[in-house]
Amino acid sequence: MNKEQMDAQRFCALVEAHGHHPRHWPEKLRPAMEAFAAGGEGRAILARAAALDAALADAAAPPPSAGLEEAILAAATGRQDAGASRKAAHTARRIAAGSRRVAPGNGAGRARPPVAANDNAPASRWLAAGLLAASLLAGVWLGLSGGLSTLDGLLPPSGSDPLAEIVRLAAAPDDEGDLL
Amino acid sequence: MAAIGRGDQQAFAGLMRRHMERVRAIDWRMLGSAAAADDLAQDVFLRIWHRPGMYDPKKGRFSAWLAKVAANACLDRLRAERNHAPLHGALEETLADPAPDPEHSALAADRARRVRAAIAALPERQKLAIALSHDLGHTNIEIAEIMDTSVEAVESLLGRARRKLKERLHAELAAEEKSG
Repeated sequence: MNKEQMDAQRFCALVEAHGHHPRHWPEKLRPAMEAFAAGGEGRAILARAAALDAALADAAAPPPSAGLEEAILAAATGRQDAGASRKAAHTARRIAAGSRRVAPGNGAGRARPPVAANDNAPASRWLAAGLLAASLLAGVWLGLSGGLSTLDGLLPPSGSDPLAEIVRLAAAPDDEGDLL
Repeated sequence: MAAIGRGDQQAFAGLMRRHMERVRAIDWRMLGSAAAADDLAQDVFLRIWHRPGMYDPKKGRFSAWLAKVAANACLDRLRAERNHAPLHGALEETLADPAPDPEHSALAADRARRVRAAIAALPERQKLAIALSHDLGHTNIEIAEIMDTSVEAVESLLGRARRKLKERLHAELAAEEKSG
């Protein structure tokens, strides 16, 4: 395409499609566009396009919430541990009934259901997570035997052995709707 | 990604540091809410953590692939929101100044708010094309790959988006041209 075939309307449409910077212009059209851009009409069109880009830059995204990356990392790590011993973690959740919300105070965060662990994580992590879950169960049992009043509603029926109840819950089938 | 596949948390944290801004830029432009953008960024990165094998280096640059994951997550979220409740407070947040700065003039804040509102009013695919082109600096060819469409369709999307923005922001752009 030569200079004669480039008019203001076409130049404007091309700048709208490719942006105002010549490096983004199609190679075949660049000479004709650069020639047109040197004229008064071309300069005015480019100035308007540059103003739009500047306005968009002024309205760019605000920075992420403080601690977002740490929260994501914690969620990833927590899920990895939970995935290593799903039944034990599930049992702990049923007893603790804690919230799994991980987004830090963003006002629109959702309670996050736990999901499967990193599918390529080494097997040694399963062992570590299993030990972690076992220690969690032991801690819960100690708490129960110590008579924590906040867990009264979650205690097994009187007369039953709390540890046996925990073990029974640990052996129960996964609740897939809760775990995935 | 290989390190992340082995469960390397430091590698995962490094990947988040490098790419968080870009993922959030897409999320924020598409969803119009910093809180929703944080939430979706968390979803995107956790998806990578749990399924690092999703990325195939033979299919292109990681940044373009990640932009595609983020874009699809946004479109899925918007689709889900359309079928259920609207994003809580998203429009109000879009119109509000995300980072009130005492030194930021009222005029500039007002202009930024109008720009954000004009972008928010664009159709989803036009908004996405603007985010990928303007905020992330992808070429039209890359945007076509990310959006699973032709380069011509991207040019059309960008052309229509920029034309609408120029029409809606006529006064703001005139002021920008004078100051520039």
